[in-house]
Amino acid sequence: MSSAWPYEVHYARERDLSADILVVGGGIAGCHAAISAAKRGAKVIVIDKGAVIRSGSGGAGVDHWGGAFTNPCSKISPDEAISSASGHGPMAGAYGMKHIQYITFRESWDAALDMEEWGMAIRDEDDEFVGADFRDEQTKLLFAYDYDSCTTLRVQGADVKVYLYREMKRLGITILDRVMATSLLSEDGIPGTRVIGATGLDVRTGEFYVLGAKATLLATGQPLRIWVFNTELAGLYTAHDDPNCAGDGCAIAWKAGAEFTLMERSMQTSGPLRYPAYGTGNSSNTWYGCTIVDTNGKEVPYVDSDGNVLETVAERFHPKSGQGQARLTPDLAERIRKGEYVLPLYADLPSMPEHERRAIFGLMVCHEGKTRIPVYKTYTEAGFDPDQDMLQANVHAPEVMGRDPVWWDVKTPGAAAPQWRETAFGGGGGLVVDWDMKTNLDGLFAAGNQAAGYMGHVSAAATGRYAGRKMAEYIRTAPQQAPDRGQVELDRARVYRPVSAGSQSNGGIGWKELQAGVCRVMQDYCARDKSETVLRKGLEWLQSIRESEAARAHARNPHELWRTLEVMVRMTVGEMIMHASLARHGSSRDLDFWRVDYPNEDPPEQRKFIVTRLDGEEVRARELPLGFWLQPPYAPDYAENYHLHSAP
Amino acid sequence: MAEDRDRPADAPEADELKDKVEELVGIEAELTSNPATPCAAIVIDAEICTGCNRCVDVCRSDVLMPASTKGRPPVLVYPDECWFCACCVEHCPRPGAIRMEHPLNQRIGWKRKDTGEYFRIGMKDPPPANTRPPVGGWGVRPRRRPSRESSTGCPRTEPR
Repeated sequence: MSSAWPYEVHYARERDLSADILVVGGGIAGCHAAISAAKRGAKVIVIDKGAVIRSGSGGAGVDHWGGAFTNPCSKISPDEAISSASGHGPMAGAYGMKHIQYITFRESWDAALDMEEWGMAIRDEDDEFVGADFRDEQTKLLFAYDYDSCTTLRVQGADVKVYLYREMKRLGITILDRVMATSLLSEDGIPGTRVIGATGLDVRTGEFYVLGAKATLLATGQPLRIWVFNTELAGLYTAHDDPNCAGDGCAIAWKAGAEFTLMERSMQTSGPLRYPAYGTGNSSNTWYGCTIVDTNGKEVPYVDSDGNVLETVAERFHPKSGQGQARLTPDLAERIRKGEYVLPLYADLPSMPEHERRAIFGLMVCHEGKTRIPVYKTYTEAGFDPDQDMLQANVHAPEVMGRDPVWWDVKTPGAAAPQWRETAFGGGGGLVVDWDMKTNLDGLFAAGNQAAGYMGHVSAAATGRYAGRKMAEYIRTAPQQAPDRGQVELDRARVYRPVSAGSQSNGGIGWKELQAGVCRVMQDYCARDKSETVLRKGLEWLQSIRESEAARAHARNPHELWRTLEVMVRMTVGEMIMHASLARHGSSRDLDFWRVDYPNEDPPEQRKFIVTRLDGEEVRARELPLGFWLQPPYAPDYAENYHLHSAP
Repeated sequence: MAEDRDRPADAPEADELKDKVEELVGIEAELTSNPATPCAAIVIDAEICTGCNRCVDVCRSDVLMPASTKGRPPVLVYPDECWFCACCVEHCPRPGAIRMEHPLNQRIGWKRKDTGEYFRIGMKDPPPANTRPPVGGWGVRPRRRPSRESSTGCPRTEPR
């Protein structure tokens, strides 16, 4: 195919704009931040590589709204939640940033109320579930997973971004769609100092943006597809989150001298083996509590955390004190191999109580990300009827059958190659932020998945609205500074180099081949089992590629330029991961981090955050204790810090 | 088995088959790259599409590009960058103009509990569509009046 480019192209033409606040990334965190800052009178610009009306990992929907500890039905307070073992939450683990988590617990319900005002249904307004076990008759709130503690709402958020976008437009926020951030601007052009804005590329027209701001929020996603970038086997089901999340925020903040942590954390991934998200019969997440049967209709038991078999469907949703979510019996794989259960397995929706069935397939599957059209509409139009039909579970490996990992993050040996890794889902690497969601650099804040150690839709909403308030406060005294021309020109020259680089016929290289090569380096030199010598060899490879093939990467249009720059971003993120991996001298089950030259698992002296940053050409590492958020200069308890910092 | 070698009663006549094959005479071969990778999840019906490009505007990955002629359907230029979110389908103002079709390696099957029949996405002669709308219906809801304590974006509730 060869046709004229449909957009007017103006490579390198500069557009200069400034505002009080620049939000980089118009996903869930960025939108909530922009709105809360604009409501306080700040002039806000939001840039996004995609279209804010739908972009970001949360842009395709949300169905369950966790951490709503202040909703009127909740039996658990934020303070109880943060101090209990279960308060660690599924998204954080031992290395979770609990100050971010606490902010989320305090504001999750408030963010839900915001969304309700802007149009999203957070209650059973149509009275479809009257009398359901999970409905509060007074408030009409619907709960998920645990019908006694009532801390996770079932919401109708398939169009969550449409509502956010509409509110941003109403408030007069400037939205620049199709603009990728390519660098952060520093005071006097010197990395490591105050951040005063960013530069960017219009991925349709090739224009160059210079954006000045008193405060900049990185609300970009977590880096993805660093090890596995495959568009052949299952399209971009490879990516659970938005596939455009290359790590732009990480790369530009790294070069600006910001501090990162947990970048060494990664996990095994099913990568290109995935099925449609939430679109196979399984027993968790959107399908939580659904009865799973074998091909002869024999039911697979659910068990509680102690392994006790739960006899009734209702018990799956009413955990006894101290019990978490129920799950399929953990010895299922063994029992399949013994012939006790005959494959394939099915999700037996018809056997479920009517309200549960409708909540699973109709509410959760329909409003959760990528389920409205891809699963609900596609499957029902093809004749699938939850009242009569049992959806087949994947037939991958007995270890994952009937569970969700195949469309999520297979960690089962044999179900995915050991060198197929991905940044951690939940509590992965990112920027270190304080109780103000501010980074170590003046003028630079982070929210949502871009902050290290916590993640998810609700955390993005809560930390976004919180960071928006903090920035509105910050800009009252922060100066507006003109960008340094030298820094602007340096980035502009870098950004457009692939446009003038050679073509394939004279030694150039396209972005896909370059990406495949970078992934190969990550798979070879930064796989599950790492060591000093191999990591250093990996850094050498990346540097060598940067000087050779990457310098000859060519782009034939602004779209290819976008993708080429994303490969460069992934190279930088790969280096960040390797540097962080070199700095941790121990192995850790919690971090799924393994050093063959430091095989001791979770030695006490290694239970700390390793913080890395770029200082000129040098990478500096320092340590932060777990729980630094309750140590000086902060107050010793969560509520007090929140009171001091939250800027109501 | 002898029966298998018998000619089925409804098999076409030899002359019909011959005519069909001879239609190939004169068809030219194209020099072209391989078919798209199994990622093209979007199908546009040129008869229904008015070329409004709403799908182009909402796509996070710019997999669709506007046609060079106004009013013509957009072109699926980068199917391999599709996330399969189908936001393009959701925003289409003309039902059926753009629809999602999972690539073959992403099609899931199910079993009808009472009859034991097995169906799958993409099968020939599928069962009738289930027309029940989802919870909350298909549309976007209007903004509501601020009905609670404040609309300033402040924390609105005190923890218990």
